[in-house]
Amino acid sequence: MSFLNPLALWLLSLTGIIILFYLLKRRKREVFVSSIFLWKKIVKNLPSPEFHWKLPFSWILLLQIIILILMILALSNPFLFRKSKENFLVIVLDTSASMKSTDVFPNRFFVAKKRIKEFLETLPQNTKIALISSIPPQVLSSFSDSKSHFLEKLRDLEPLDVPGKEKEALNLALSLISKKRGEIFFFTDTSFPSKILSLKENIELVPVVSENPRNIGITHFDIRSTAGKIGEYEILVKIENFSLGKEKIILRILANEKLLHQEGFELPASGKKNFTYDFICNQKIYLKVEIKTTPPDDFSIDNFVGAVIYPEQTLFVLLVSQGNLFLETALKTYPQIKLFVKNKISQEQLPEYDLIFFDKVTPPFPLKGNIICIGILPPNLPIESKGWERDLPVTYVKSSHPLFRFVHLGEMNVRRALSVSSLPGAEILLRSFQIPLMQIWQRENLTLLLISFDFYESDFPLQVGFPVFIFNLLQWFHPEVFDPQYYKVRTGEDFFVSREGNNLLVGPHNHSTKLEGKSIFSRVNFVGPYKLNGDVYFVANLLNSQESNIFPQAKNHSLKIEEEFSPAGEEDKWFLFPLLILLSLVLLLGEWYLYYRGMQ
Amino acid sequence: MGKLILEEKFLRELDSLRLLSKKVESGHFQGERRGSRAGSGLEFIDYQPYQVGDDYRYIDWHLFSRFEQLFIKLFVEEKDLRVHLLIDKSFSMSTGVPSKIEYAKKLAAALGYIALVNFDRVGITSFTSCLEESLPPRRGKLQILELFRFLEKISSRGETNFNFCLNKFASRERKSGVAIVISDLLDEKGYQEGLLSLRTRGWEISLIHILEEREVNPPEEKGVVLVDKETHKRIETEVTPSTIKLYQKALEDFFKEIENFCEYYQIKYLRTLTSLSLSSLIFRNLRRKKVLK
Repeated sequence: MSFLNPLALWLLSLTGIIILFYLLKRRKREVFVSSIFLWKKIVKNLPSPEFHWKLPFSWILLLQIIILILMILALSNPFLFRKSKENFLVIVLDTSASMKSTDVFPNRFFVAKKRIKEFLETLPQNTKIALISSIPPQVLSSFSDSKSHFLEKLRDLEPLDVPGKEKEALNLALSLISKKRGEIFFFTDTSFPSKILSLKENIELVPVVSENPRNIGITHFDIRSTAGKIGEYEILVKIENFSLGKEKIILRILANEKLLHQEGFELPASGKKNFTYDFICNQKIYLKVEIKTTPPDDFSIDNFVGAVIYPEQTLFVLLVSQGNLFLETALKTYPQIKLFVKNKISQEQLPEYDLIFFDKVTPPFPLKGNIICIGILPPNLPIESKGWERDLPVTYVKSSHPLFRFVHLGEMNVRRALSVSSLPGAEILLRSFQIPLMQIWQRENLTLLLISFDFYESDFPLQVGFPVFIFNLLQWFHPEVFDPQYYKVRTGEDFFVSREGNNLLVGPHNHSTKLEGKSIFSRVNFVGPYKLNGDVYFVANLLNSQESNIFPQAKNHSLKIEEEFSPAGEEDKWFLFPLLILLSLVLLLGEWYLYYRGMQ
Repeated sequence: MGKLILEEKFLRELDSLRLLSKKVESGHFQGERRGSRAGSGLEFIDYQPYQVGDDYRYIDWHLFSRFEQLFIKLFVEEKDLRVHLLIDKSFSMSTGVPSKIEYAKKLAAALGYIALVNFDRVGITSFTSCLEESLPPRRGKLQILELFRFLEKISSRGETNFNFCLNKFASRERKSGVAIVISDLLDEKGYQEGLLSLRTRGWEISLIHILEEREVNPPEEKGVVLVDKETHKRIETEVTPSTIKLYQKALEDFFKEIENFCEYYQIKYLRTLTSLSLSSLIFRNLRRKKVLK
């Protein structure tokens, strides 16, 4: 018998406490005598009576001890191994980008699939197999003894240009066999943090990797606009050599497929080089950075990075207000903004502006576009107002929201605010007790930020974070204007497509997706340019040094797969916990009966 | 008459007995006991010149005829004896087989019977921590049933305060007589003061000390709590042979102390066990101690 929680067995010492209680509780037999005054005289000179350790036999005590032991055993979660007719096996296949390495022919992924197929041939008939992919970590085929179904799923599986999620995949595999005695075989190229190598006993690592792969890769890529110079940009590229030998590298920078810059250099084994480049951009360009070595390395995905850079855009912002110096000053700071200030606006004029602030001025109905209402309620909204409330401290700030990045409003004071309810489905960003002070409400054609207090009735504009908040707000509403890296993502990340209307997004391998209006595209699985309606819209890059390091991390792990497979799943765990609890409950009933009878 | 009725045969045997006492002068009424002074008895003892105030019915006319002087005939005064039975009915008297109280009640019935048969006046008072029910002194065989009925009602309860009760009794009773005190004397506060109080008021005391077998020879008990039947005080001890020896030594000392005290104050002291038959106690021990004749 084995125990999952052997520490609980220490509780067995509690039985001693029960016995001690009985010893202490034991009442001495009373003997009535006519008088004790003669006894008193002699007892003074006698030693104190000795403590009798002998306990009289008691069924109740015996039952209580047995019940306690059973419950402690149940806590320790014992289990027995019993012969099982079924063997359980989980095959985890690494589908990360590094599996596309060609150090083994034709590539690591192909070889891994081949070896899995060979392995299946050696398995006994009664083996149930499950298949899990590492990207995304999911069960592709649950336990089944149908090899054809398993092979079908395996055949459809392809590697992605995405960094691996080995830990999650292995945890998923462990959860599948948590109540069974099974084994996990992880077919991988071991391009993951070495921490994962401290695997559990029942995980067998099957590395699919050559001994000396070659790779150079771009592991870092940043773009920024040069401070104070409109239209000028800087790029930073970090190149690493993951090969065992020196590599001659040629770097090329291209804009819209036209060569901007080229240079060659050498990188020693494990060497790194940072490279910067300045350029001017007055129109939209598709910027590409490539590295090459001769002969070509074994992993090409990280030899390319790209980004789409749009020229400086102008944002039309309208401030509808009787006058708000704080807001006006903050908005005028940004050269990308063309600010208009008005006293009122009609509904028809709303689409002319990218962003509209209504500062204590009632907006027209119906509302459309990106709207910010300050200290005023738009008409015909499903919201209740109980008038104005005074002296409201900030009790809740959703600090994880992008609007509050580097902004701390915990000590902000609001003298007067509208006591409103929350809009249905709105995201509350700032709250004073139950009263929302800031909430975001997103509907078709409308994104509304409702600030239910007047800036002049609070110390918000005096907070250090106020201009930062305004910037965050502008960036959140129009990221394409304020974030030059917006059109450059890493594979595996989501991308927010901020273009209105029906769009067709085509990936690097010509996978097309139809998008309706602004939406989040979550299948950025391949490196390369993504085209929206025929134009390059954004570029996905790998940019993961762990994934680029295709050198084997688990060289010393033995390949048990090549030996005769003796499935550990021959034995299954039989958990005794429910049986012990049931038994202790029955005995508890018996103990209660004995006690009750004794009371009578 | 219930349990207390002594067997008729036994009662008839008791008819031959009488209480011995030097205190015949204590009686109020004429009785069957010869007094130490001249009085109105039947037995002639002497003549005495007539004095004013003497009962002229006792003037001896024969002597007057011969000597022409008035002489009074003197007779031995025949007085009744006042006997008072003081019974300790505290809870400690309930132990033993038969219980000490039952034994005491039978003994009191027998002694009362003997006294009544001999025209002595018999009274009974029971006591615990204070004086309890009392049967006023009465005389004559007809009172036997009343006495038995009274004794029947006595049952043991409460704590003892021997000294207080005897003090109270001695100060309450104006005339003295024979006091037969029946008790187990198991009172932490002692017994001496009470007995002395009676003694100094002229009572002739017979102290009958009743014990039961287990009080004299306690059995071995391990790991027990001895509980005082009266006070419910507890004492935790081991009743081992060595402890028993110590106890018996203490008991012996206690007995010795009582004996010495009684001897010094001329108190008739008799110690008995409930296991001893009543007839043995009465016909042998009490006669030997000159309580009965």
